[in-house]
Amino acid sequence: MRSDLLTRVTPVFRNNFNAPDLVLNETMTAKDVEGWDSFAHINLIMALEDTFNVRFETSELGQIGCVGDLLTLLESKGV
Amino acid sequence: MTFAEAHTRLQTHLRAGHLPQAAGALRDALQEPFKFTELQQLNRTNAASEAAWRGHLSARSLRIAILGGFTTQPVREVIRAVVLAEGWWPEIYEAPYNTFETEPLDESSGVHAFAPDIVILATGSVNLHELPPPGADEALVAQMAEQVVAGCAQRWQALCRRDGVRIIQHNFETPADLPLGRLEGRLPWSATRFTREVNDRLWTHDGGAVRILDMHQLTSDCGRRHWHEPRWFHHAKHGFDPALVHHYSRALGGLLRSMLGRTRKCLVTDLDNTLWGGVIGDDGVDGIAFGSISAAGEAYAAYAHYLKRLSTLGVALAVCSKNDPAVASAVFETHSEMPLKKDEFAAFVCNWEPKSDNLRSIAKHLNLGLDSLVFVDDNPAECDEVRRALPEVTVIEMSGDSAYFPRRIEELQLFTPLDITQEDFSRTASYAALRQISTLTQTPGAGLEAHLASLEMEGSIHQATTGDLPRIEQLFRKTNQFNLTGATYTQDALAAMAAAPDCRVYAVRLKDRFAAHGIVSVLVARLVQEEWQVDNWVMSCRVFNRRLEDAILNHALADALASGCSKVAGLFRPTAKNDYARTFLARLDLLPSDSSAEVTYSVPASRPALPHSIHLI
Repeated sequence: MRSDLLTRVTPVFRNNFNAPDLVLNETMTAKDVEGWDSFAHINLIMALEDTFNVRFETSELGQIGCVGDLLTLLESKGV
Repeated sequence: MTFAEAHTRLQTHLRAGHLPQAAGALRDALQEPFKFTELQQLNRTNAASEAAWRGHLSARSLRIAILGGFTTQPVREVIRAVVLAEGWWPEIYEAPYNTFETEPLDESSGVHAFAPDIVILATGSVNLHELPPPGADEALVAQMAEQVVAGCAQRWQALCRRDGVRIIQHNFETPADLPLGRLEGRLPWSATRFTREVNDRLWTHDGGAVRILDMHQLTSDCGRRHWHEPRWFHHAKHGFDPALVHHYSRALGGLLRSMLGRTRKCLVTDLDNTLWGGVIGDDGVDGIAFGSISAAGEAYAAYAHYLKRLSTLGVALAVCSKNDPAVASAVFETHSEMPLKKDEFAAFVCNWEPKSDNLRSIAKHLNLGLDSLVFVDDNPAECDEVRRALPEVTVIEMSGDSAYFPRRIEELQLFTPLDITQEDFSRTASYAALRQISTLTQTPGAGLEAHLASLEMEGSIHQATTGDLPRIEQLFRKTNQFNLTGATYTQDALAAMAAAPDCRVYAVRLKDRFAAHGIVSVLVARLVQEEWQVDNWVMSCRVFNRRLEDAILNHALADALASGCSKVAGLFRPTAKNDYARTFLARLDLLPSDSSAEVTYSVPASRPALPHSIHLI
């Protein structure tokens, strides 16, 4: 379930951006989260890879425009 | 202990205001593997307690500038943690991305405005702009390598224009892509051979203010394929996979420790299930796992051999074990495969007292600070007792597979000095002599004078020469107890003073029937208005309690009088550690014995007598 997945990625985001109260929604982009720059993005990706035991390809990393894109990508990897 | 457990302890100690224990927990955390995000969390924990940390460190801070040729955030996060763990609050300047070539040369740049103590030039093979063209001959390859190093040297020079700046220069790892395959090793123009050429030249500059961080070794330790993660490079210009940041942390931490004079000096090891498998009191010499009796025994013997090699490089070894001393000694005296002999240990303590008490007495006995000790024990309860009672001591909990013990010690990079000098090779013998003297000084009337005479000491005091400077620099940096002002000097500054007519850099050598100790003391003085002002004076704890300090001061004053001056004077700046020096000056009535403030002294009043037991040549 999509909303389930949103719940599962939330702690990874909170930890990565040091924002314990962060509430995610699908349309959020990097602009909406403080500190979400290219460096933090890679950290986030590494944390997601660790957490869900998946691997993102370089081209996929370029396609992520918003949180929803990320969830779609995770779903396509069977998460 | 895992990283997460140590981090939790750190938080608990910070909340309780137990800063010494917090520092210990921070060091424990950095011993363990960690992820990059965990390191960031650790740094956030410390940043939230910045005021408490600064108070604890008496506002002692270190200004570090990072100039990189790739994304330097991982470098910054490592520095924040390792510098604090060694006792300095880190003030960091991070130059804009990939400006390592321009910032040093531009007088108006951020790095010059920041006025750093240390500059890290964090570069990698990605910054080697030009590789030799296919078919280039060796002369061209050499010329191109020279050019790379000349570029580095130009940056060092520009950065060192301000006094006291020190440089950490990354050398170059083998690049990510090696199209020549097997031939990389054979053809001089290959990327592999070229980086080797550059690195060989860089190493010749390692000394004084410039120190090389061996990225080539680090990359091969981690594996080149793991080190270069092309996804992170293409996306965020990461010079290495941030997942390997704890390896970088250990390497950089080791180098920083040695630059800051925090190289550990003594390894104190437990015996049962640490130096051998089993319990000697139950199993006996033939029953313990040690040597060819079993694979596990081989592993313990490998650890013993590793310790022996550390000892020959100048690390003092000590035993601290809950055992009957006679029973434990038997292994060293009778086990045919035991490479360590009892007299190779600077201290051998077997009893049933708390280990923290024993460590305290070992430190006192060797004239070392507790923060110079590394305690190795398999028993978590013993480790915990030491962590609580003596948070300054570095604790290695040696649990798990004995096959990995040597690697565990090596990975932590606690003992690698900045330079190895002749004096390091003779240290074990010095400690053996010290053990005898220290026994005698503790027993009044035990004939200290007679014993000192029996040492057949021969000293020499001369103006320092160029060859002496690395050791002299090291001595000022490493000496805590006999250190009058805390001043340190670069080799360049020492060379200038040694050549100046109004300066003296007395290098004092000592040998006795046990060992040639090499340079054990240095006194730097300047001529100021007809008196010799002692800028600083240090003496190695290896030669304490021998009256050598009396001989040196006597000589300096005689020299001063001979050159028409009236006295030798100077400043004494008390620290938590230099009580030995204070006691010496007080013995000569140069200081009030209870003085805890900075105080000046002046020598003509009570020139110390020349001790009979030291023959000056």
